[in-house]
Amino acid sequence: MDTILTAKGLCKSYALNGVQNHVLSQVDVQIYEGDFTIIMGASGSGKSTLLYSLSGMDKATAGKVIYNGMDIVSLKEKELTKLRYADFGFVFQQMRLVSNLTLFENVAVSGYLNKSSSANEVNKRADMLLEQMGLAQIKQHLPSQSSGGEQQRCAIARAVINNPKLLFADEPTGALNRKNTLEVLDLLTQINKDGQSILMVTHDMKAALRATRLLYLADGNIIGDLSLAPYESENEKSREIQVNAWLSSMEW
Amino acid sequence: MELLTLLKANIRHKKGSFISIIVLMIIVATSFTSIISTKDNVISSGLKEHERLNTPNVAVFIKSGNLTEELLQSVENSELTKDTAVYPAVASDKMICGSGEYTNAMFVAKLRDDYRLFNRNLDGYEDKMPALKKGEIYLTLGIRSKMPCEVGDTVILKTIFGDYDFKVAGFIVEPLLGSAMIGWKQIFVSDESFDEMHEACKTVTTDDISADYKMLSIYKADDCRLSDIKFCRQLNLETGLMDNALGSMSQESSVYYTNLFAQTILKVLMIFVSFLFVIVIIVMAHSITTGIEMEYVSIGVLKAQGFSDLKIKAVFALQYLTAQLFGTIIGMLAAIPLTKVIAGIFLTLNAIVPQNKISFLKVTAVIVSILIISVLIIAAATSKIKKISPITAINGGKNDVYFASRLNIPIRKKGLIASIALRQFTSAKRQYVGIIAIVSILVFFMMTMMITGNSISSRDAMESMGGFMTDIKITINHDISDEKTAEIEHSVSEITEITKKVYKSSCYLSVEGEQIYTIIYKNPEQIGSILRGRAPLYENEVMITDIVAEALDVNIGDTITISKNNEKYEYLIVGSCQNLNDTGMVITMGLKGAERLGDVCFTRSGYNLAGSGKASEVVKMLNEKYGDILQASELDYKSELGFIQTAVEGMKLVIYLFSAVFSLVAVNMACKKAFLKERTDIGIYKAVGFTSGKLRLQFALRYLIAAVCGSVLGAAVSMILSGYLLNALLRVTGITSFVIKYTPATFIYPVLMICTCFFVFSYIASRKVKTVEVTELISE
Repeated sequence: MDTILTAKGLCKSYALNGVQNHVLSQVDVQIYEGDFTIIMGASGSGKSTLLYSLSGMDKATAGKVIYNGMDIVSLKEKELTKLRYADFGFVFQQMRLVSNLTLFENVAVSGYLNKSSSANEVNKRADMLLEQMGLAQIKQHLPSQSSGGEQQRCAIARAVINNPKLLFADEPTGALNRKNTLEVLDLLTQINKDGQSILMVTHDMKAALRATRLLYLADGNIIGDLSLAPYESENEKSREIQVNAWLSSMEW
Repeated sequence: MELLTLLKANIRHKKGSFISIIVLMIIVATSFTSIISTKDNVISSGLKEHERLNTPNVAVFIKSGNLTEELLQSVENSELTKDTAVYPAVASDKMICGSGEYTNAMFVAKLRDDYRLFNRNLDGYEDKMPALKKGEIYLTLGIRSKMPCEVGDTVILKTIFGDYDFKVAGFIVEPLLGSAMIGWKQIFVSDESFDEMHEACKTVTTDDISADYKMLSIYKADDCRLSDIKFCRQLNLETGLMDNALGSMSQESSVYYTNLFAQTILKVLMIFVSFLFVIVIIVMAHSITTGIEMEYVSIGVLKAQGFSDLKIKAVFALQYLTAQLFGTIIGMLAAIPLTKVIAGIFLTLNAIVPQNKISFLKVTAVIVSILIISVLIIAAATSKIKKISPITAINGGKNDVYFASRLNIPIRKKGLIASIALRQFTSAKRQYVGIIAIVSILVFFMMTMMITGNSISSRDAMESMGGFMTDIKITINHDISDEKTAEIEHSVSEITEITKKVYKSSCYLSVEGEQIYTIIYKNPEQIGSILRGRAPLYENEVMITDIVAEALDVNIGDTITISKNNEKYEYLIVGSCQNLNDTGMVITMGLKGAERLGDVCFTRSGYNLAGSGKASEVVKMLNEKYGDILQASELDYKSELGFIQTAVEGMKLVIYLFSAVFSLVAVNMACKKAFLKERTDIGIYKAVGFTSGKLRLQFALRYLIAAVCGSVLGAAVSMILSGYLLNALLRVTGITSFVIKYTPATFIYPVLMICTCFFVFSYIASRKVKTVEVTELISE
């Protein structure tokens, strides 16, 4: 498989009360096209920090993140914003929809930023995605008038409106109940099967089963890498045993 | 102690709001203090000067021949009179200095020792006033404000018995006629110069023409309770003094006219500053209510800890009152030097150095009222605190303030930023109500000033206010024959056709015993400022202003008695007109009506020309060919209103400047609150690919939308109320009928200025958008 994103010697440190806190230290990792890559790790291991550094949402202290031949760590704000709407999609744990835009507008507004699509094309695609996410009936609702699951599905639709090369998701089921969690995971699995590359952070075992590749982060570095066959609901039990065993070996 | 701790924490946490309220209060307190103090200072300095010089209650200017021993005796013997004093004077009607001239009645008199001399900087008085040498003259600042001249300059004094050159030795304080607001003037020369002029003037004196005058100073009896004006009228009824005089000036009238301009300007500014205080209240209320929304959780926590509603309210109240108090104290201190500066502006006008005192008691009363109003507003704005329950607050706080709005316009790719800005605006309308109210107040005032400027600066408007508006204006030195008049008109016609000829004269006549400025038209149908009724075409007809109607309690259809030099007739009031001379105390009549009271000499004339481009050629010809009998000049209607025009321009500048400052502070405060409230949304927009620049533009655009809404509201209010406000304010200057004139600039300038301010200031205030990082959206 082709590499879509490569991190080399990625470091991220914070200064807290004058003391340097190294969250990521010399992370080397490659993300492949078409994979549903999931990063796992204990709480505070730096999963989200790694995700934000890889997606260019946050600047790494040192190291490189190579995407499409360019180091996104050294990109300026204007180039980064273009990357955000044209190449990457991002799903947050807390949905993060703009509160005064309808669900449809939340999805479409990112599409409108993309100069290569006409308004008509964006509107059609937003409608199609909302239909696919089961939100067509409530697309004119405001986020406050929708459930958490609906909001998160809308956030996913927003993230993929511009056909991103890579979709980043930071614990997208973290704020959802069991039913909504399953809906969102099914959706992500489906779009991955449709060809969408996904890089997701989670500490939810159920979510981890959907991965085609699992990475384990501990003490600011990747210490485990497990490849899996594409998820099928029928083999979930055996998959759970396999993943559990692997996680146990990582001292999860 | 717990209140103090919370108060300190709140001030530390909300430095921006705290400083903004201080800044606004500094402006309001400085303005209130300096306006109130200046109002008091200009009046009291004048009164003190009158007291120091023992100015008479009434000064009557009368031809020497008319002040018979018998008349003087009757005045002195009147029970109303305590004392009189007679001073000889020589009349002049024109003074020239370089290219400037002063045209009005001037009475040359001998210098008295008790007058005070301005220093070189014209900001104080010399300790001693040097005696004048022959050929030297002391003028008043009122003359200098209309005819620029300095100490050492030579002025030419024109009289019917010849021209006299004098060297200006200085400017003195003459409180009775010295102000620029009063046309007649007293000027002072040495005894030697005066005696020489006096002798010369006697040589040309006839029964009709004389420059030999007396100033009769009359002091009221101690038990006379009449006002100066009524005293004057009553004395005339008893003695006929005023009927025989050229005119008079009472001390009360002098004080009124001298301070009229300053008082009118200060009144307008006072109203404006009162509205600025309303803006402070709006800003403060907005800041409190949004502050409560943002600190919903904290307030819940405080309640859970046992803080009562009252204590939490007290923290808010103390925080804002402390800011107001700080601002007020700084403002009052800043007003001390400012009061001196403002007083300096009125010095050239009032011709008296104003005192530089702060009216502490009055200002304190205003400040206390301000604080009481503030407390009430704070109490109302913090009433929401009562509704916050600790449980709901701590369990996630208040819901988002956004609501579905019927005004929502779809977000579009084309004009994406503008459509998002509009959505932000329509979905949080309440947040912008304060801004809209502030803008509407500012636009209302700016438009009102624009309307004032427009309505008094056009030629038509000037004519409607009784101005003398012809392409060419001519001042005639002496009475000229009809043949000479025809010759002059013929000479003009050789250059270009005359389309309109206006001849008029003016004098003071005794109307119902009161000296009133009278304008006499050769062709009364040319009066361009008729408000009601018609022009006085017949010999027994007269036209009055609304001010005269009010003062004499008469109206159209009534008869009034007018007298001059023992001639006394009844006249029918046939119309009402407007005129700014003597602040509106004016009557107008035709030649036939005036001739009943004596001969009329037309001293001013004017022509409208077919070829208005020929005006300068005509003026040049007239001055070259007839320079010995007349002075011609082109119409400069903008200078006709002189000080009123300058004042309106000055007030416009002040109001625009204050509006800009208030916009800056109000926008800064509102933006900071909005920024804190929308920090997450900003992060989301950034995460999906919006640049900081686009977000800042979106931020600024919605304040622009709010400014446009406020401007529309302000313009509507202005169209309804400006007329009433101006009529009420300008009535004291003699303008009773105000024709509101709207031009595109009336709307464009204020709206453009305020919208630009709001857009630019909010764009600058939104610079913090840059500091929002997408990582703030991470939930651990």
